[in-house]
Amino acid sequence: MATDRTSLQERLEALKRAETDSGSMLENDKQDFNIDSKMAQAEKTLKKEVRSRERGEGESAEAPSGPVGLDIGTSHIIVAQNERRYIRTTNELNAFFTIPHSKFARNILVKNDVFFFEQDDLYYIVGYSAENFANMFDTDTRRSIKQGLLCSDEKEGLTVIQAIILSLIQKPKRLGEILCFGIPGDPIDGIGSVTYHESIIKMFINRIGFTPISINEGMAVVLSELAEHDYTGIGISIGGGMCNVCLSYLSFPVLTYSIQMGGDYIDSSAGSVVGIPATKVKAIKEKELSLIAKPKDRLTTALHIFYNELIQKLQKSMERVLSASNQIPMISKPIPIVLSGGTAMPEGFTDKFQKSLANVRLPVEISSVHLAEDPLNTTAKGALIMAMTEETPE
Amino acid sequence: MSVQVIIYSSDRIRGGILREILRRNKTETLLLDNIMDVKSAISSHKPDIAIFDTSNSLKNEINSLKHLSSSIEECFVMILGDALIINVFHDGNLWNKLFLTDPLDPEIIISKSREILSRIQENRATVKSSDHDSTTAPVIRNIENMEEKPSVADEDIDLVDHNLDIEHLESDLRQYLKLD
Repeated sequence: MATDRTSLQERLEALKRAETDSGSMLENDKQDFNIDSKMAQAEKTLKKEVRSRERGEGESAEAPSGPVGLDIGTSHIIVAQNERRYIRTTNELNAFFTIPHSKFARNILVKNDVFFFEQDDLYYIVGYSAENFANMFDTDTRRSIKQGLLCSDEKEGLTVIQAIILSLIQKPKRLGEILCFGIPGDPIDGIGSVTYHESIIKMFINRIGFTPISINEGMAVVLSELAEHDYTGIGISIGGGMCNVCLSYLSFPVLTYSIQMGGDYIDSSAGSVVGIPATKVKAIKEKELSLIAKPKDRLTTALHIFYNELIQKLQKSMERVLSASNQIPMISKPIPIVLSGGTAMPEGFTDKFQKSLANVRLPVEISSVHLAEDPLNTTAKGALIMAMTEETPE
Repeated sequence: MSVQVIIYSSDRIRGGILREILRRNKTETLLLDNIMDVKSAISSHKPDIAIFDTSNSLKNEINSLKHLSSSIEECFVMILGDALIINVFHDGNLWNKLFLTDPLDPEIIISKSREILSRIQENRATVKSSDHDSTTAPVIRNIENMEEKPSVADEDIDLVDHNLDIEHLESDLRQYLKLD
């Protein structure tokens, strides 16, 4: 897990200030110019508008002509690319649904442009199409990633992820183009190997023709949102399967960790108490949940309860992990917290988080809590920024 | 390239932070994570300050750093880390040492580095103007007289431990005079 622990600034400085006495001035100047221009380009990119969209039905992937940012989340896979005037992100749902093999079913799937592949006498319906099928059958989709890491229960999980990634990006125009992808921090309370997850994804990305590098998800949030604070603060990505936390100081990820609790936990817990499939709860939650308004029925009451539980557990973990760490430098000024991820999106979440913060004691003073500009795409954007500052191998 | 500060840290994050804060202070630094490289860098670059961050170091690395720090006379040495580990360094030459215990405090490191570097500059200018030989030792010895700021480290460990320093000088003297 070397790359995610390397800071943007550190790598830039390492290149910029190439600490060697040898080499001609001309070469050093050329290198400095390259790095300066890359940094300038990345900083310019940070200010660009993000244009986000779902992958269209039957739409084929593009071959990227520059660095790529990739967020492989529990619920979505998002690709970010730098366009001339904006950042383009394309997302697909990271879920699947299987139906038995038959000629009739195949014809229906092909006719309706459903995204699927065939394996072991089953049709694997992938992405948003899987959600439609699950709702139709009043059941839940299956996941290739659970609690932020590759799921050991689903043996075709990796094949599903590969299919989704290949539906979003193709082989790059220039072989060895940098692709930076987000990886979780080590879970403090659960099981699962981040090293295995990271290595398997790296191997696959390498096979498509990219040079893979990884970045901690919380750090990607910091890179995307905290440029004005010198990349100092706490970035938290609250996704479907886990919450990722990164305390960054001057762009160095001083402390990273995760808790294996997220939107899926809220959906399944609320669903189980009211007797609705989690997939349906998710759809209702994303469409109409407000944490400011009083709960109007059993489901929203349950959602409020489990949201409160998530916030409390996350903040308690921050208190415990940050207080126990001897890694945190003395930070004289209060630092900001930035929240991102789909689970942080309901109206009132940020206020609730901020108010609840008064119940924990952190070893660093917090100046503000704010929601990322585009919470669903923050990790992919941060990964893109990281990819843009990396030197492409010759 | 003139390197003013050499940093040793086997902790990538802490080393990076140290280099970054010094860079922001317009100080030329070289970050190394290998003690052999530190030894050769000190003799080739002749830095004004060597910062040894003991965090994350192995036992034999701590021993090597201890040995190295006690033999360095060419530059000022800042030793950073846990109070228990730093205690190991409290013997040998102490006149050119500064001990800063965790947590890492970038502001203190910056202010101490500034102080040391400016004092070295002043001494160099004085030595030059009085047309004496500009050997390194007298320059550094003057750092001893630097006005002490309030300690930021543990109460037990002063930034420069003068008691230990005096004890050591006494012991050296006794040995020299064969009084032991």
